[in-house]
Amino acid sequence: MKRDELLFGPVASDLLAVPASRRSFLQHSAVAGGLSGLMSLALTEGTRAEAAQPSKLDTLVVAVQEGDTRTVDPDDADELTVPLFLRAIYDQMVTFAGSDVTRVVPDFATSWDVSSDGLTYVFQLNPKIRFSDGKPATPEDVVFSYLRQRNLKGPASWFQNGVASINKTGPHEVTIKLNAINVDWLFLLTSPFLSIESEAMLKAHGGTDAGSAATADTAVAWLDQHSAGTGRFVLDAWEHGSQLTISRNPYYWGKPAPFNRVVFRFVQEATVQRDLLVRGDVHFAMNLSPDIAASLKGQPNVGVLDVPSLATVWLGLNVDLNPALKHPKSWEAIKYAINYDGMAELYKGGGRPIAACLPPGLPNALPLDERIKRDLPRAKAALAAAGYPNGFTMILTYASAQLYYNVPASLIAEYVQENLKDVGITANLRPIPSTEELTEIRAGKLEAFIHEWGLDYVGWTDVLPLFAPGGHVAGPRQGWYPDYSPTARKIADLAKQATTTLDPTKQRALCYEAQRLMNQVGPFAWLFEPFIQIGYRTDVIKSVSTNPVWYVDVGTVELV
Amino acid sequence: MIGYVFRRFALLVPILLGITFLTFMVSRAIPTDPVVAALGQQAADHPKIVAIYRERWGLDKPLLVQYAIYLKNLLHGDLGESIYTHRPVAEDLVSYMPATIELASFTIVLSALISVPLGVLAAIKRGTVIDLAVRLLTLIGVAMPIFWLALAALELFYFHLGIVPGPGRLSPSLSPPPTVTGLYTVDSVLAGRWRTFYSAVSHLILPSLILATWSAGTLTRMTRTSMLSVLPQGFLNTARSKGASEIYTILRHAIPNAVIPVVTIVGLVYGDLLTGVILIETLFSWPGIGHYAYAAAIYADFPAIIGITLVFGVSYSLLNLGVDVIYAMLDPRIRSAMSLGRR
Repeated sequence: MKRDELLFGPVASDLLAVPASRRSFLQHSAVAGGLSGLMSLALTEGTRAEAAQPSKLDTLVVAVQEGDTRTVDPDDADELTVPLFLRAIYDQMVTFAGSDVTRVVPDFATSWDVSSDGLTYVFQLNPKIRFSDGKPATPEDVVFSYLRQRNLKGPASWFQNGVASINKTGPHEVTIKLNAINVDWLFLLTSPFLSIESEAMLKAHGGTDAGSAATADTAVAWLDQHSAGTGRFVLDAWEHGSQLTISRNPYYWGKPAPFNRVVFRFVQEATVQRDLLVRGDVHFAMNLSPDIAASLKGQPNVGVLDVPSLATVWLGLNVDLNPALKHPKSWEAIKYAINYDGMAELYKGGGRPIAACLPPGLPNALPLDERIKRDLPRAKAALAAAGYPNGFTMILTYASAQLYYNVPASLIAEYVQENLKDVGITANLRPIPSTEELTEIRAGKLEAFIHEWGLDYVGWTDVLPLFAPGGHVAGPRQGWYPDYSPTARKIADLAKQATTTLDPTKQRALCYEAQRLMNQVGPFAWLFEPFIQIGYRTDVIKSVSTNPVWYVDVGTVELV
Repeated sequence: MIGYVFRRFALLVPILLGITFLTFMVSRAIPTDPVVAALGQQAADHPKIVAIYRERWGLDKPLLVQYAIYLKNLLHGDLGESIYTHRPVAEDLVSYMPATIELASFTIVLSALISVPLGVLAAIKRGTVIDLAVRLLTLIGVAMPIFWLALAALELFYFHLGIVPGPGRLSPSLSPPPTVTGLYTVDSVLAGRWRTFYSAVSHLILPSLILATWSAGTLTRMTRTSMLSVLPQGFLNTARSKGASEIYTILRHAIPNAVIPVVTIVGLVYGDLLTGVILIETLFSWPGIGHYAYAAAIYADFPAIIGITLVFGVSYSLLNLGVDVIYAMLDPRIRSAMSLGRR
């Protein structure tokens, strides 16, 4: 018996050793050769690190979830992920100083004056700024950009709601008048959704700022594959579901980035982002879960940036739907039954406690030492005072697949359920899809829910007035209006007064008082502020500005 | 034969009508408001923006009116505009489909290359250790959850061993080739960009091998079963008695007869691959139709959902038709039956 027969048996041996014809032999050889060729091809491609070394870095690679990115037209976008791209491509009137979000600094505008009544803002523009086509930026471009956003009537048009007028008032001057005082107006202007675009470039591609822009403007599709900004980079291409590529703007007016190109590679899974980062195939991994971030700490050549998200995760109670939840003492029982410090074990460095609705990084946030701490005797006493000494039952809804900046909602909900059980409150969990949850919350249909409030811009006015009685969150979603009680009325008045108070000291005092009263009598339990956890290569990246809105400003990356 | 093909095409019309009706009604029966899914928190709290949004997407009209408008547009070849991407759905489908076709095609070729020899071998070696091993392997391939397998394979072959590239269709350092077909492997060859071709093929290997564990499992088992039904047949003994070698008898007489039902399964498996690669596309950052379908479902993008369902329906029906035609070409008895049916 031949050796082949010993190994494979006679027929298989025939198949291996005796080709039926010359042609079939060649076919078999080609197939075998092709397969082995493919494997060796994969081997060489796979072993080659895709990200270059810092000294000769041409392309910075960022792994990020494409998430809710629907368009990269700044005037029509209004999502969480897109500011990461917009900030790299466009400039805003003002911006933040590096990672410090407590003060604004010049960007498109070099300086500004605010009238004593807080209603008129006069901006002096930087005459050196040019668009990516080489043409100088003018006040007309600012006026066009803002008017286009308002008249597109898209998801971002609310940014223009407070603007009474916007005009060119000098060769390099723009004046904006507001309808009412907005103490956070300058902070709002840092938003990448308020970017400045070239009027000429947009008009050449169907853009318009006319009143009919909602139907007449056809530039959105063009802006999804091109850009018309003054930022460090220009948009090369956006391949949906795959990657978005930007390259250096030759006319950038400031310090250029130390690389030519940035590829934002869309990677959905956090574990895959981690693998890419550890192997050095990407320089940033934007969507790490707390578990993964914790596991990366201590790994060679990899670091983790903890960026406070300035988002608030809270347990909300609707004051109308469950009889047991109509009594403020029931709310108190829930608040004091939750072990907030123990919750930190769940998010493992991926968040921090909060004292009230304003997270610690925002101006006017209540100091952390004033936060509510677990007090079971007090919770039980409150239950008795509410008329439910043995507890009660409620339905606690949350978005089943939701991640609070990578902390799973299910984990938090189960933890709260366990805590409440300790005082006799039965929380029946109801996980539902996130869009359904959002629909029901906004319709005020949920008796108890855990939810996250993310900032639309960095400003306390995007939070406190909304959670005050009758605000967008407290009113329609939780049924808590000023007429609920004298204290509710007082909180609403304090919040309103704070939003029109220009003196920072008086403003802070009003905000503090409102938050303290909300902690005493409000239908909320403030759970935590999640962190945005970003992995990066320490052997390539020396420093970068981070921010809760645009996460990292890739143009500010300094290489090792 | 031609009449048969025409009749099958005619049947597509009521099938597709049914698909649109069911998808339209089911997608609107779910308790999700697309306004909520698409607008941010601040925007959704502004009644004016919400009203304009509803009007813009026709969501302010009664359901049946919306459906009638959709059908009217469909007759003009207009699948509507995606709520999520703001682009025509047809344009989206054209841009997402090639990635899926490329992955599914690569997978089906790999599967056929693996499964036909394995199935034949298992049948010839029926009852031996080889047969048992093949059956066990195919069982594992069919039973293994694709999602888990993909994660494990990425961890092992990419992360630890580094013998395949990471997720995506190309290395980040390369730009896609100029679009002709949308298939990177083909377009890179047409453009003469060999490094891009090399990268595109190497990025196809791991996802297609993972998909092939399932499809090759199915095809191998089918090939084995089919071969087992052919092997005892008398015409093989006739061939042997005429002096043909065993290898010749199997290659020339057994396999061509056994492969006919396998062709049917290949068609169906290809259809399943086209429509069922959502998890793999998500894990491998593969910008295909599965990825688009996932986003459409998350954002309650009704026009896109119906467009995708229509494409899936048409693909499946056409693949079935194609399989039947090939079946007839391979087997004269079926061709004859079709001709009789025409009378």
